Amino acid sequence: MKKFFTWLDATFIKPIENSKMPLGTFILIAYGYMVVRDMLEGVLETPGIGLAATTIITIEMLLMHFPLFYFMLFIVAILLIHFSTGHDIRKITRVLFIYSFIILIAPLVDPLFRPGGYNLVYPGDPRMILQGIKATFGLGKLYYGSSPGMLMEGWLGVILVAIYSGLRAPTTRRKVISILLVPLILIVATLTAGGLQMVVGAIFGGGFMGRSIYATGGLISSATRKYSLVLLLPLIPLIWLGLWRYSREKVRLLLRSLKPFLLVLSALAAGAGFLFGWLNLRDVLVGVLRNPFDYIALFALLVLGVLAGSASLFFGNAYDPAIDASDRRTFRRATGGLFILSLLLAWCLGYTALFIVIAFFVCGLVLHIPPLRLSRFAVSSSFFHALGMFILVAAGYSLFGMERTLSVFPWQLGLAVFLPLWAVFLGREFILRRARPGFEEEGEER
Amino acid sequence: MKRSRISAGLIVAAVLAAATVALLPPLVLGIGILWFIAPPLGLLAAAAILLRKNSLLMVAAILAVLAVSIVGVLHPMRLSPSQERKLTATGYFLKGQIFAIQGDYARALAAYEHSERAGLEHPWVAVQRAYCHNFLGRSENAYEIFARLMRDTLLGSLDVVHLNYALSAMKSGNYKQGERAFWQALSYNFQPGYCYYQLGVCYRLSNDQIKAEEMMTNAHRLGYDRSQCSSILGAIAESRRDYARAEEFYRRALRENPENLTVYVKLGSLLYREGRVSDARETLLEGVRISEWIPLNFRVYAMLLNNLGFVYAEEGQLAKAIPAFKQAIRVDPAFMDSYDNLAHLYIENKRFSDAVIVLRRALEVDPSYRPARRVLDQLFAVPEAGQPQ
Repeated sequence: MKKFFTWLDATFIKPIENSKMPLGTFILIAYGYMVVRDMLEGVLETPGIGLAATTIITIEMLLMHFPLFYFMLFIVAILLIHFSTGHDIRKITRVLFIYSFIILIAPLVDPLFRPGGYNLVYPGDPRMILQGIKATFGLGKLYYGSSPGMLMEGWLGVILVAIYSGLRAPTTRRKVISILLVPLILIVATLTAGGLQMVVGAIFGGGFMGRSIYATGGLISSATRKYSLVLLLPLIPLIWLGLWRYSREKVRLLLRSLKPFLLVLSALAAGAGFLFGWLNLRDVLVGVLRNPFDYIALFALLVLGVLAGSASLFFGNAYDPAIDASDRRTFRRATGGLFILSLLLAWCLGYTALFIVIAFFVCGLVLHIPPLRLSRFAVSSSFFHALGMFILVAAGYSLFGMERTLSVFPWQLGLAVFLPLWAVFLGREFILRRARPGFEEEGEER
Repeated sequence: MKRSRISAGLIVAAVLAAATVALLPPLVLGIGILWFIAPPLGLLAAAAILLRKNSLLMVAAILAVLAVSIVGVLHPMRLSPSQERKLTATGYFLKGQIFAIQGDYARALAAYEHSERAGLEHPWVAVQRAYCHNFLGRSENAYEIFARLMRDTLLGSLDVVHLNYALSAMKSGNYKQGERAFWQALSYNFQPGYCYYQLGVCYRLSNDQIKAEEMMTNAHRLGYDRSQCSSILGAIAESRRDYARAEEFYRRALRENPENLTVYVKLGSLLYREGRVSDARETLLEGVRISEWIPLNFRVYAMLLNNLGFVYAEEGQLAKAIPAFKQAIRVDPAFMDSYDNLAHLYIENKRFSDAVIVLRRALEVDPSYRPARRVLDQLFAVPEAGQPQ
């Protein structure tokens, strides 16, 4: 038996654990499985999930809702396995992402049990888990939304994680505890990913279906984007926690480079945009801002401001010649990650917000990336910094102004916000240049 | 050369920051109270620049943004009439969108109309209005709007407008225009599966079963809602009394979507009519089992239970038939057939007072429901009726 596990470890686990591929590649591999699963669900399972009738909903599902569900599940599982076994989180992440292809079992197996497949629902209800366990032992039928394939996935997941935990926990006592904890870990991970949406529905009223808060309008017009937002907001701190365990040194470097006041200003700018929009339209919008997601959207805007502001700072560092090359690489990766998270957050809020946030990153691009690198000159640097802030204001305003944001945004407000910001950033540029003479000379020379 | 402690750049930036932060917000927003808040903040920004305190400068910026936001809540900013109009139009459009998503199409329509009156005369607002008319069952109004859009704007080239024009034409009784529009949409390759499906429905309504079958077959081949297409093909075969083929189609519909509950009702009825009562019972039971897990369409759930009760009654299983009818009434109290069937079952078994209770409940739900009134009148004409059982 021991020989078998040693062989298993040497053949299937160690080569992946010791892989030199970057984290991003593992994430992309896992995302590939998710896309394949969604497509297979759309074709082989009962219609209604995976491939929606409306193209835009399918895109939102493929790029946001379903991947966020799976990443939430994986990150919670990775963290819990890490805490239970004490094993290196980097190695756990690599193995889990590579073997996450077991999520393909359900759509491939289900049609064998019932032609036409099942109308799968992502497990968020504890009754589903309980019914699944009962059904395995012939003590009941599967809860609606479950399927034999999902049951197989669950059990196979338990077996694989138990084997891995048993192999990697350092002491016998810890091996036993971590193996016993495996079902609980997977249940917690599944319920966190699937249950969050139900919990938010239950707290704010309406439950999951019908006239729930997801389906009753508000500033975020699509239920899919609301589901995504519910997953994305808690996923952000979980990602930070995961990265902290992954590489404390790099996370410390990133945290140290943040400028708290600037981030507060970014968040405030996005939030102020929302407030300006509401103030301009409050006489008209009597009685419609009742969906709790309108307030969640405001919170998401504040988070968006912080993320986009951080990305902008990291962007600057990623191309700063004064910074060490390996640190620059870290900043570049962090910028990429924050760029994706910011875009996802903006997308959840609306398409106009998404396009506006893309414009924010274009400002970062012209500011920091050679050959333009306009951050070299005080005036252009301050202009684009102020413009970036103003764009965040517009992103907040876009929840009310929609596609007409730029045409209805009052020019008076634009002047009252943009010009003082430009002047303030100009002052900031001069202060920074005084503090860094080399930088100033570079700026003066060109 | 040794640098001076405060450079010219810093002084210029400080003056600009002081001026813009102190003067611009109160000046351009026209909010008087800002004259008391903005100038100190401007001075704070200038001082921060001159003292080279970046954090202080950011605090000044944060306070300035906060001041503009908070004061804006208490004192609305002065806007020009054209700006007000633009904002009002946008606000009503947003309001319309929110009401539309909430399913409150009457208020959505009113909001869109307000938006147009306030100056938002984009054809897209008209499209939204037409959608609302469609949902409110005013297909004629929707058709008029879509027809105008098709004629006068470039939106007619959009598949969503073209298909809605065709659909509203059909729904408003302008079959010829609708049919022509769907054929035209097919030639433009606008969602051909959907077009064939709608043409199939149209031909079926106009009793042209051969064409309807051809259209549904095409829609099925193109993968448009296969289960529903098979279900309609089954109904067409059934109307031709080709029961074997109808059963084949219904079973295919269930294979394609085992949760298409309407098909269980149709197949159950077909099997019952063919005298295969136990097959009908099994089919209906399967439908009921699925409905228990997917309680989305209560009407179909009630129909399944009602038909199951009917089959049980036919088999003489009174103990199962009565609960089935009662459950059907519980699931969808507005489905009147269940009251009728339960009352008749009671009457057949001479439980007249139970029948009276059921019929009275039916009349409570729908006082204008004539069959219940008629049977109730007949029952009171019978001497045994109303006597305790």
